Amino acid sequence: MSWLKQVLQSGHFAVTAEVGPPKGSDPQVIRKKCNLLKGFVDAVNITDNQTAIVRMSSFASSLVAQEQGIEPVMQMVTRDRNRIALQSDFLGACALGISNLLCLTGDHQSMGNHPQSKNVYDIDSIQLLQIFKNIRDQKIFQNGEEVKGEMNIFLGAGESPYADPLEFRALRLAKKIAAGAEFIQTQAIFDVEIFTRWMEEVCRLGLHKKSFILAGVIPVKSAKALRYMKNEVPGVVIPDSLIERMEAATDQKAEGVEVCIETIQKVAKIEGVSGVHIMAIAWESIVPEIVQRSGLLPRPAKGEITSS
Amino acid sequence: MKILVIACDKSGYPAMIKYTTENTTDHELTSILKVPCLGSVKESDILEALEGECDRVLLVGCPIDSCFHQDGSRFAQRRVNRINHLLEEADISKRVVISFVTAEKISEIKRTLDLISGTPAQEELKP
Amino acid sequence: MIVGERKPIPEILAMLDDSKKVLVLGCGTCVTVCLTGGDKEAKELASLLRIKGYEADSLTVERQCELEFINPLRERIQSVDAVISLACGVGVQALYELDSGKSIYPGLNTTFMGMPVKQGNWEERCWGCGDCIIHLFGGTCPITRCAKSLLNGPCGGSKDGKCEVKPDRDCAWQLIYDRLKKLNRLDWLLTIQPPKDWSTSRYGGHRKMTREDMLL
Repeated sequence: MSWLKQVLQSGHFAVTAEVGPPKGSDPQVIRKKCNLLKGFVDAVNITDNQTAIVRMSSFASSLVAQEQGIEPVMQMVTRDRNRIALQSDFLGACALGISNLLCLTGDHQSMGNHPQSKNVYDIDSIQLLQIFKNIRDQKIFQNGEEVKGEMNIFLGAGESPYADPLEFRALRLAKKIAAGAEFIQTQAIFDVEIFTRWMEEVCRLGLHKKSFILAGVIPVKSAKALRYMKNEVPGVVIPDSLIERMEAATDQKAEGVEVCIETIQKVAKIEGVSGVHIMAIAWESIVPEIVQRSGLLPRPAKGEITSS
Repeated sequence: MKILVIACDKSGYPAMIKYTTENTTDHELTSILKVPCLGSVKESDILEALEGECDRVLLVGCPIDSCFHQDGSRFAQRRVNRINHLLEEADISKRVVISFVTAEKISEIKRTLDLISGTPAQEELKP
Repeated sequence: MIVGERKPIPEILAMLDDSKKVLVLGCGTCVTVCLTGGDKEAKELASLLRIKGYEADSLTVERQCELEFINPLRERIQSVDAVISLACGVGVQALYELDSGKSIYPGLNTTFMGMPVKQGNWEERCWGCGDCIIHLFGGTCPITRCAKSLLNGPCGGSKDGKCEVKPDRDCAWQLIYDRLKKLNRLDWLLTIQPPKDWSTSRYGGHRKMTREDMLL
């Protein structure tokens, strides 16, 4: 049974982080990152060729993480594999004890390092959620045929409270949850006000009761990095006041950590937020400090929670 | 260089006649063809002219914003640009040049002819 | 209409190699409308080739994709070393069916099925999926116009109504949302669209269409 699910269901404020697999075949890279995070998070997302850059597969990397004693959230994108391969991997994940899957559409290949490749996008993330839910609960494949075996997978999805069209985002979340999303990890939050209003709408629709929502945060190292995100990354809204604050800081890195901790503490108070997802891109080493200083320690240990 | 001139009868042609009566040039003006407006000159006409012996085709007509037929010179400029791109792409050294004059102000003709040097980049230099 | 763009001239010249007599064939339908392969363009290319020293000529037919229009060209094709077809890929292949034994070189890169959105600008509109559902999306085809062909869009990459993959392109889902909002049919967006049956598209294999009653 998914530990993340147990933590969330027991009412604990969950903490997840992210590990990007290496652009190579050395599993030690993953082991090192996992060891940094052990004890500080409840589960760790393993990305799937994120931004369409070829890396060790999320499936293999998830197994390495699992062997290291940390629970993976295996990410699956629909960009590179069709419904045949995705259902097949779902069964494989179940067989090997992977208990969390995050269903995403995935960045277009033109943004990655193999822009000449053909993409798949046979299905989108919402259809993927539905297919997986039906395999797990109805024991049927997408074509209606019977699936054998027990499958215990905690299904998740991503959502961006800030992407356009803004007024449709909460409704789209409803769609994802109806399709099968049991937990949601949001895109990075920098503008807490907008996020608060989004959560109000989400709660008004009762979605927080149907799915666990984890607020995404990213610790930034510099004002330059913030500016880059503001201009280049869709679905991320950064208030100018924040950039000014970072620019005025003597130690921008430390200020970035401070901002992240403040954000976590603010969103933790918002109704409907069940946890936080820390995306410390290429800075996994900072996560323990963030978790500790945000007052999120100790993490619940196995044995402290009995699965229902 | 051998230059074939196509000039509009409102400004280009009278200007060319005036210029050639009063001036000489090192270039050989193989012919001066009169057209109602530079806008009536098709790309295929220009290319046909370039198939002959000339090195340059020179279009002379009204300034863009005061073309007698409104947009003739504007369209002619675009067509000239397009043909020059094609010629460059095909690695052909011939070029088309366009000059905007009034019947009286013929100094522009001298400037243009002076610029025609065999170096296409030079010829595209504007003031 | 089918849209294509002329291949770069160096590429065309490389194809011609040591051919001497060249026929440039224009097409009077789609590529005339998108100003890349019609009579005008064929004449221009022939002119350029003559300046380069080839013995080149041009000819344009109504449509190169129909054998009845290109059959009369057999003799002409025999009299040259090479043919450059400015038709779309369909026309080029049709010319090959004349079995002339001559090389037919494509002068265009055929790209998409689209329309002129304004003079000088053509945009892709149809991908030929074989199962049209445009009406469910307020008139914007998500298969063609969404970079990820999402049926339950948008993705998180929609910003100010533009697509993050092609920033000068509209986000199809913003268009769909706006249109359905106007039509008061946003409820359609709440239905989960099931996975598409791609078997009717090119992914299902090479396609053909028959009208039995018209077979001779």
